Amino acid sequence: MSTQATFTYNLQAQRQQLQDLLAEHLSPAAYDWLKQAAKDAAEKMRAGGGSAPFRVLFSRIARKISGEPLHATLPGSTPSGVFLPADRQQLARLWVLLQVPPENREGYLQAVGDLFRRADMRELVALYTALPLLAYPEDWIWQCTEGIRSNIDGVLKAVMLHNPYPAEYLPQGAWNQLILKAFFTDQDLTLVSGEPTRRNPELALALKDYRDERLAAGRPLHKDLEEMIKNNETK
Amino acid sequence: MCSDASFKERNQRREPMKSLDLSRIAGKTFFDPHVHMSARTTDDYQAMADAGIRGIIEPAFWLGQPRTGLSTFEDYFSSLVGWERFRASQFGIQHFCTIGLNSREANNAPLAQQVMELLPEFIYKEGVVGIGEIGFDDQTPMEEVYYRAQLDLALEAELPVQVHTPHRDKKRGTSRSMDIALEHGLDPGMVIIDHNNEETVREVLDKGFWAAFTIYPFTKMGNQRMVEVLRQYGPERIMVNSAADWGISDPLAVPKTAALMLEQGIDADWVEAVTCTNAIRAFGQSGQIPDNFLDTPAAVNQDQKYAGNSVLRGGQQPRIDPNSIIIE
Repeated sequence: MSTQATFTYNLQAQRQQLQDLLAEHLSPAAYDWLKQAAKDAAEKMRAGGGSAPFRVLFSRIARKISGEPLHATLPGSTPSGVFLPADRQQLARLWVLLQVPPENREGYLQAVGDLFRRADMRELVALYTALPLLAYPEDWIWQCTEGIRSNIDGVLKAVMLHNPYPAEYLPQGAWNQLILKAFFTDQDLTLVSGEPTRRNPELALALKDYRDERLAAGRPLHKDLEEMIKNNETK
Repeated sequence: MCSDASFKERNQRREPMKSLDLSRIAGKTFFDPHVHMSARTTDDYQAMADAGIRGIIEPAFWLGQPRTGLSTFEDYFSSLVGWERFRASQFGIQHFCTIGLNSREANNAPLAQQVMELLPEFIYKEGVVGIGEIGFDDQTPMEEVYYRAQLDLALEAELPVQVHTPHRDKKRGTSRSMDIALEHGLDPGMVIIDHNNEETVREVLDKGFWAAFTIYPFTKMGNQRMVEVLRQYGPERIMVNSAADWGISDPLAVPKTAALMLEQGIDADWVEAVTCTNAIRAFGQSGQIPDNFLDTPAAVNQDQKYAGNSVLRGGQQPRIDPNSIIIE
């Protein structure tokens, strides 16, 4: 199975775009460190050494690369559809994910899965932002639903907003849960990528119940609720 | 930890409840470098924030009963750099942690070895300000093996070390802990020796280490005694903490101690040093505590994805009124 078949977009172009951004915005020392460490980690993993070097590399980004906001104009579109964060550390994490050897599917799923399992808050945000980038896209559906279960607002935003992955891959039940949770956690529903493509009458029913519940409790309604109900009723 | 005083005894000693008056420390800022928030409720977070606590360090410890598998360590460490950090930020409190294999669970040798392999994956994460809390509990050979190994890890990672000193045979255990740290080549200025008392403090300070005192009812240091220690030794390299955990303990120990110190005529600069700035200096050697930490509202450097839309606005948690019978 060729590498390209496991990705649904032009991997080389996406790697290059991220690499160019890092070359531009990282200090030379940090850039050299990052490239070398990723090369070593990939070699070790290909040689059967497991993915621990990737986990250590991933966690070192917090120490080696500045976390200050990046005040620069970033490209408006990306080959994979991934949203580019204005943050050097996050860009570096996205790039590192594209260096994980994908040829062995099980090894790849384990490696990236371990990154999710051991991630701190910002790493989680990077990982969920990266869903559209990952190889074997259908294998991340469960992980996407885990992100929607998160209680951490930044993580929720990373999954739900400006992210093309959920609309494209989530089954209807999980998609409806995403929208409901977005209302529950007071997100800006206009930022949910691909929302118009997943409208369904079941969601309208659930949202109507939610509206009635809020009204009965004397609680305010989310500004986007009525429109969402309307859009999902009429198919 | 567990108190010797019986439940009946404690109830007989009870005085009529007064309301807490912290007016003496109004507007002051505090830092608690040892508090187990995973065991505490949001009521505590709210009280801590109201009392002026702006930063805390949660050391990795056991949960009250031994863990039996690697996954539970993994999940616990994850929570220290993830969920618990986020939970604190909702109250405007910046949460840091130390990561390590604690002395109790060092006695499970096969599991301990696996945890040692896990540590390098967590110690570099954001907000980790040291290796801790490590050291001796019963002073067994296994505890010594893993204490030494983690000292080496701290050297390699250039991180401060937070040392738990034993509650039984404390004086000897504290001495040994320090001598071993020096043997491994650690700079005592990078090592915080915790849970000190009148018997241990002199040697800790003389050997160049930081001396932390845990203000914890019944079983550890009391704050009246702390005032006396401070008068005797001055504020240099001394800090106080609450070590509030799942036992009967007080997450307001640091501000309360500050209030008592001021009431008893201790210099305000001394009070600020031992209840805030010394801890920040000691653990700030990790490079993980921002220089402007005391000036800015809790701005955990979280998702920068939406420029200008700071996810954590700190202290935005809706407030409940615990004195009302109405819940809505």
